[in-house]
Amino acid sequence: MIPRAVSASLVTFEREIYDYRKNIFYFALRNLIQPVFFVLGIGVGLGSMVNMPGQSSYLQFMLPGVLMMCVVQVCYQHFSSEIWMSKNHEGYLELLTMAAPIKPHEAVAGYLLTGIVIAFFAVLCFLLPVWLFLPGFQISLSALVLFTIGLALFFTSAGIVVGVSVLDPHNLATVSIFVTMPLTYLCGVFFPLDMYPQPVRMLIEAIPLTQAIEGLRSGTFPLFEIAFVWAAAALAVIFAARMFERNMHL
Amino acid sequence: MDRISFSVHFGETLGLLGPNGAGKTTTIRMLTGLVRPSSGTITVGGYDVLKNPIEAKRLFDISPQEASLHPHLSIAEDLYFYARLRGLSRADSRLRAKETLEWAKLQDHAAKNGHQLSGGMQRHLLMARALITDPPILYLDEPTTGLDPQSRHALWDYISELKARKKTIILTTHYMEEAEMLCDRVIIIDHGKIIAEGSPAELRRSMGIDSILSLKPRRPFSSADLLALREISGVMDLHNSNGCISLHLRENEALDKIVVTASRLAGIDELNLKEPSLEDVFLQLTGRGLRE
Repeated sequence: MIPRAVSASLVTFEREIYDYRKNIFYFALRNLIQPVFFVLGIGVGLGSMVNMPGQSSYLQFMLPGVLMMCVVQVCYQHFSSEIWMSKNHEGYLELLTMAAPIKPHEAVAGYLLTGIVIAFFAVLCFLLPVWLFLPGFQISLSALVLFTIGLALFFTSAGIVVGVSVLDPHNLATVSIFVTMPLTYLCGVFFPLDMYPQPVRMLIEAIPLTQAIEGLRSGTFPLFEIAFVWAAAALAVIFAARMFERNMHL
Repeated sequence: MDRISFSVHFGETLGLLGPNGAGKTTTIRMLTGLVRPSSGTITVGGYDVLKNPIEAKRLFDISPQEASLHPHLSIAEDLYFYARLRGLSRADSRLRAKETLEWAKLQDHAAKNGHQLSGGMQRHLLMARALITDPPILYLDEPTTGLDPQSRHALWDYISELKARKKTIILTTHYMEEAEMLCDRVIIIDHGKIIAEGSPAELRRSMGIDSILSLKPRRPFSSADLLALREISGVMDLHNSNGCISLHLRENEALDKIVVTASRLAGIDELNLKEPSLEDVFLQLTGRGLRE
């Protein structure tokens, strides 16, 4: 017998994944398009002119960053828009509060589980062609799995917070730009953190995405970085659950 | 809402009436736990809606005012997931979704998206969806607003069927005819307060008049003519709208005198005598001014 709370979370997960599966081709395309342009335009194009000390190629340096960026983009974009639509357009969150015997944190758990699954789907969408065209590309799979889960939890939570808090759809797009653009260009996806002055570097290193990228690039098992990302994810999940509950009531 | 308090008995249909913005939908939202009251309690079947929401929600369901249908799911899928959200197993959800489509006579539209249905069909679907777990209590928030007469009558038949099944129903509506026909008891709300409560017959009697006479004069009445009519014994109230007058009569004995006087003063083109309706009670209590 599955406990009611688990069952309630799984129902939310089942509904979200069903909806995702119905549009899987579109989502797969969306997962691929930006990373492919990064890899071709910056990794292959610009990268051919860059010599990275201690790295076999610029592309090898860049790939872990783009991979983790995929997770961030997919989870944040999907849930900020999905939750916003559910709340402000479909009336689903209102219906959930009024009629479903599901507690807000149980619904959030369902969304987080969905976030993890679609994050792995995005990782696969990116890794399969990378392995096909760059057979030499190596990455620690255990670290990749742990970072993917951690970042999926963190950025799904961020998407939920933005989705329930923002009312105007124009602001949703603006907030998204402010979240994803700095992450893309500042967290060490395209250049090493040594380039930053020390105080700025400390700020950049406090972002879980930076830790995940640095962790995947390190030669040893990145225990500290994984712990950092998971601790940040735990805080984000608690905050998202509280914000979701507060915004479920009028 | 301002210190409202009421109870609904098992199997009763209670109508919540009020002008736009009076607080009908807010009341329904409070009953479901969506809006938290600043003080007081709401108990459904012995469960506090705010302290025991899971237990309370098992006892009721709602047909909301807004469509709240998924933009990417077919109505069969929407019903399936609604049943899952309400706590049914996968097999039961599939079965209940199918039965619900049949009950709502929407089997032929099962593959359509909810937004592809007409307004009437959407309302049928929402009401059918509220019955998917067959709860004993139903909240119907303006179920017939904006529908054509055919769809409205079809939904009235549905609600009558639910009444026959001894469902406890709380219905908000703008249509007095609907409340008069379907509700055992009516509460009139205005500015967040309950201003009248009783069965439709009790509320009609509370007006203290026997009949309402509508009269269209052949020539316009002057102010002095209207004053003369108002002063006839048995006339409780007089409304003048676009040249037509309506008189609230306490005694039908006044009728002869009114007809003779009106005929002498301006002539009579049309005359209509009726018993007071719930709409007359509503207008008397909430006024004739337009609301936002």
